[in-house]
Amino acid sequence: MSSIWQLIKKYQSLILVVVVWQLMALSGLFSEQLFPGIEKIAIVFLELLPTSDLWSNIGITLYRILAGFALAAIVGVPLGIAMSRSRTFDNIMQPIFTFGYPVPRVALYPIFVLIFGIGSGSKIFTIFLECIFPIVVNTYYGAKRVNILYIWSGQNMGADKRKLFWRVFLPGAMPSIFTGFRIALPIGVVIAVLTEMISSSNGIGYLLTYLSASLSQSQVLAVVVYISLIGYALDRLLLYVRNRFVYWS
Amino acid sequence: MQNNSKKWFVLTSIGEILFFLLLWQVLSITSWFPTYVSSPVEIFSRIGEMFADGSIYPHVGISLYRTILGFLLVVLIGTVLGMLAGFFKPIGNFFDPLISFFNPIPKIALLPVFLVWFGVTDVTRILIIFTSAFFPCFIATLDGVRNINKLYLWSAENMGASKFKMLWRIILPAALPKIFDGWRVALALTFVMMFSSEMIGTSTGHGLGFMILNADSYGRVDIVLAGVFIIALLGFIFDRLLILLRNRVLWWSER
Repeated sequence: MSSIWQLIKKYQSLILVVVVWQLMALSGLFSEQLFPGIEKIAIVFLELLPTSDLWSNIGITLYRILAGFALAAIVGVPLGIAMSRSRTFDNIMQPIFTFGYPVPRVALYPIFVLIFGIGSGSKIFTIFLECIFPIVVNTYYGAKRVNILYIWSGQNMGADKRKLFWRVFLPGAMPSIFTGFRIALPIGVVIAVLTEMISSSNGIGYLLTYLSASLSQSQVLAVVVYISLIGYALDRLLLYVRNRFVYWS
Repeated sequence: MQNNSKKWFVLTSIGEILFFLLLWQVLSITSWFPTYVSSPVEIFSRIGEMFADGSIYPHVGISLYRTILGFLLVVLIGTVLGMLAGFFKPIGNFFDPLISFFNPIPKIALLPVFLVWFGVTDVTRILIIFTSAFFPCFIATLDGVRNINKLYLWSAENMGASKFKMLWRIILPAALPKIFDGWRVALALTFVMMFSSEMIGTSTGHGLGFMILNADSYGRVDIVLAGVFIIALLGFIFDRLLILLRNRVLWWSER
């Protein structure tokens, strides 16, 4: 009994949001089309669940997110490490990341549509461009801050350069590389949905704008829930991978 | 030494920018680039024209108004709530589940919802800017306040400081480096969301995103690129201003 009370107390704010939402919906101040109750959203959510429409669009969006993110990781991590290791390379690349960081790169999306077409290419490239910055910056600082004592001890124990890199240096930088990943992945989700909303013929963002044209808020909100679940699931997945591979931190 | 490396950094930066522009120009002239991608000379002359005949000012003005208003709301509400939630335990406990529930939602997905509720108005745009940028600001502030060295708080308490005085004189300065980090992330997001909210669901009006969308539908790539360049420049200038402010206010904290 007291444990239920504890739970209610812990999640009081969420319960409050639900109650206020339901009261607003029931009050009849807004039309049901505009302000559906949570049970309505849940029904639409379940209705959408078995449709192939939903899953094919989710699949396309997931493909774009993961492709863009993977490209950013494959290019970004070696780039960040190279910048941390070589002074000249650092001097050459640093301005790009200092000046490029605050610039909203997604604004280039219309140009990418011209170059890569309206399909997945333009979206993947925009996602890549947005994701690579946090990955490079975090990899760079992580690699710079690898405890020098570890490197010294490794050298002392007779590790050659290659072994030192793979066994000491890279694992030392790994936690902050994953920090970069965790910042980049949600950005990838946002950019995927955003670019699909701007111009697309498929994907979950397209589905969202398509349904919103029907002015039925319960459908739109149900898709918002699906999008949130995608973001949440991807973050959990990354966390799982991190805990598998970077178990020491 | 410090000064010298800074000078060197600025020089290489300028050199690189000039190099890229030159490369781009050469590629355009020799038609290595697709012809519809304008050359830098075209883009800059377009920007010059737009500033000369004044047609750019309404777009820049309205976009900046939305960005700044959204950002100030985030700074005000996000920082104050973050500090209160960090300092007073019950408030923190109240907000924790809300944050962990709403933070993972890609806020851009809420844009169609807001569009239906508030129409194609500035309320929608500023609201989407606010909901996107609020979370990094709030979380950074909360984090900063919760990680303050407890000794500071104990000594302040011991010396008889009131709650308000502790918030203002100890917690705010001690958490400020973290808070500035949050502001910087929020600022970058503000610009992204300004652009997106103007691109989606606008039919008529002003704003840089709208200008880009409009030019894009007419196939005027030079205007699109000019708009992108201006957004990039504004994003950069405001980031620098924030860093300048940080260095003035936080002279005691190393970068």
